[in-house]
Amino acid sequence: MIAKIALKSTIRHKWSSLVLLGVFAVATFITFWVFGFSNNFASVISSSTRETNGDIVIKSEFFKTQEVKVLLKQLNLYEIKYRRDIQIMISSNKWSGMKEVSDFDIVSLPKTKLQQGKLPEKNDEIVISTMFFKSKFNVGDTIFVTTFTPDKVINAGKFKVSGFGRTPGYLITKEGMELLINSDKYSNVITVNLSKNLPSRNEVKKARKEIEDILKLNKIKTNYVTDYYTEIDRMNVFMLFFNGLKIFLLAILFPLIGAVIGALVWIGVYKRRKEVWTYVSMGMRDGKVKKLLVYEYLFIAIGGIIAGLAAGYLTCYIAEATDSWLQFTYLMNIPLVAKVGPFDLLLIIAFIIASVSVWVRFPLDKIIKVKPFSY
Amino acid sequence: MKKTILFLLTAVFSVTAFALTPQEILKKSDDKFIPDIFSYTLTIESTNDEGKMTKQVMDGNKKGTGKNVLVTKEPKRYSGNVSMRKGSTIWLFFTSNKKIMKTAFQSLALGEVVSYGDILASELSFDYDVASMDEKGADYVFTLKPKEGHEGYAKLIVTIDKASLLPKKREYYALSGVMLKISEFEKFEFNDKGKVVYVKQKYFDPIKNRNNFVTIENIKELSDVPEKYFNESYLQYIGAK
Repeated sequence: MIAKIALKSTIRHKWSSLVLLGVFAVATFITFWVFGFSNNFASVISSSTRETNGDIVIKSEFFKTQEVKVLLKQLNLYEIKYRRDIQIMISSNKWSGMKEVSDFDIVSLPKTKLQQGKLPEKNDEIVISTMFFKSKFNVGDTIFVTTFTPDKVINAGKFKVSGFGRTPGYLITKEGMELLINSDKYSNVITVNLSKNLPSRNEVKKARKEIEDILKLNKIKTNYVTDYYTEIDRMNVFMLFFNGLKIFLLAILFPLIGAVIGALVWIGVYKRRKEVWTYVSMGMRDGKVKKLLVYEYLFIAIGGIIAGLAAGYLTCYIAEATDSWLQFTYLMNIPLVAKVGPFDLLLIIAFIIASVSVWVRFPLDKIIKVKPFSY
Repeated sequence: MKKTILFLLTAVFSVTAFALTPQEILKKSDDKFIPDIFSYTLTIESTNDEGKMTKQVMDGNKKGTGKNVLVTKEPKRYSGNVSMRKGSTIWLFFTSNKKIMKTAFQSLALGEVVSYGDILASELSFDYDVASMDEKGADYVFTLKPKEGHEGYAKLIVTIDKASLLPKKREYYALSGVMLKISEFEKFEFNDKGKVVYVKQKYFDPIKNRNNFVTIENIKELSDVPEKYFNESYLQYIGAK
């Protein structure tokens, strides 16, 4: 009954309700994008997974693949893969610059979803990674690639863009790489899986040390070594940062929303004081009057949440459809996408509802406790 | 008879002593073109797709073979950036992030056609061996291959004027046979002693259909360049100077 009256009252005072609805909608929209973009940013940075990089990854200078295979055989590791990650200079009319290209074993890549096109099949095809940069190229574009072979001689090749998407890097086929570096004997990246299932932290640490020692003993200079647990720990730091950012935002918004809601509610209830006093004079208890008004503001808050979320999802859809990116630093762009999970949604809704419940009470108490028609 | 034999022997000996190997001719050409230790100003001009001209001016110091350092003066936003060649490594220092890093020889200098290797590794005899030499009219035409362990183009075809031993043209090729760029020496100027004081070079990239004009001027021979200029840890201080 009270809910019905509250709803009717909300509709009757449509202009003040709309203003408040707008405030709630804006607050919901801001929290939606901050939460969503933080999640997206975290997922872009945490790009290395066990499927892509195994338990241990070692990047080094070029070594003879066969020689290292023999050396590592003694460790009886479950699975060892060799590939090449090389620096290339891209030359084209649309864009020129340095990038890294890999000859990932396409089969072992996780289900790679390309924005457009397909994974490279021929030796002169290349996939452009849009992990950190928007693609300057379209499918079918021709680019020239120059690089140094293991013998330190410049080689160049013409490649056709077969697709682009959020791949671990620019990708070419194994045969394409061998033509580019003019050799099928050299590799510079080793990925190791210690077992089918995830090994323990100690097992990974022990195996990593053993591999590093063997390579050092054989004068193979490593440039970068990491393992699954090191990456997980790194990601946890980022996740901690982004979760902290969300809590910080809520802590900032709470008093801000409170101040705005408190002011608007005070103005609104002050204007309607005669209506409120009429309820009191008619014998309605203070608690019930407060309940009636809180219900009104809760309905407005729910309307604001729906409007804010709708605006959030709509802007997210438009940003994705128009392939919009945000310049994060001069080195990196991030796609303008909000990824809001069910927990984040619940948190946003709970936050707005809590704001209403807390901040609406103070001005209401003020009006209700005063002697009716005293001013 | 004895006098005749003696004369003939002297003549043969003299001819063989003065006949230079192709590698020696290349070295002589490098020496003619570039002094051993000197300072200079290098300018790279290019035109982008919109027709806008960009210009970079750098002050350089070279010491012997394999040591060369350039400090950017213009444009102002890159002023203080340093690029340095030491042996087979090129180091870069950026004032924007105060970072020192290694880069590949083929990394493009900001002029888009010219690479760091092109402007810092200018003595071909240091990095390349002569695979073959032809004579075409008034020119020598060398085909060069990189020395083992030296970074470089898979093949260079270099045209040198026989009379002056100054370079006329260089063609740069990748291992796959793709021509990466052509450089033509458009102008030389000399001082009273016949030493080169000004060089103008045009680089053309057939893939991007773009030109860069490189000018080397204010060439002054020096007695020495401080060794610290070729220490990568010191680059940030050179830029500040």
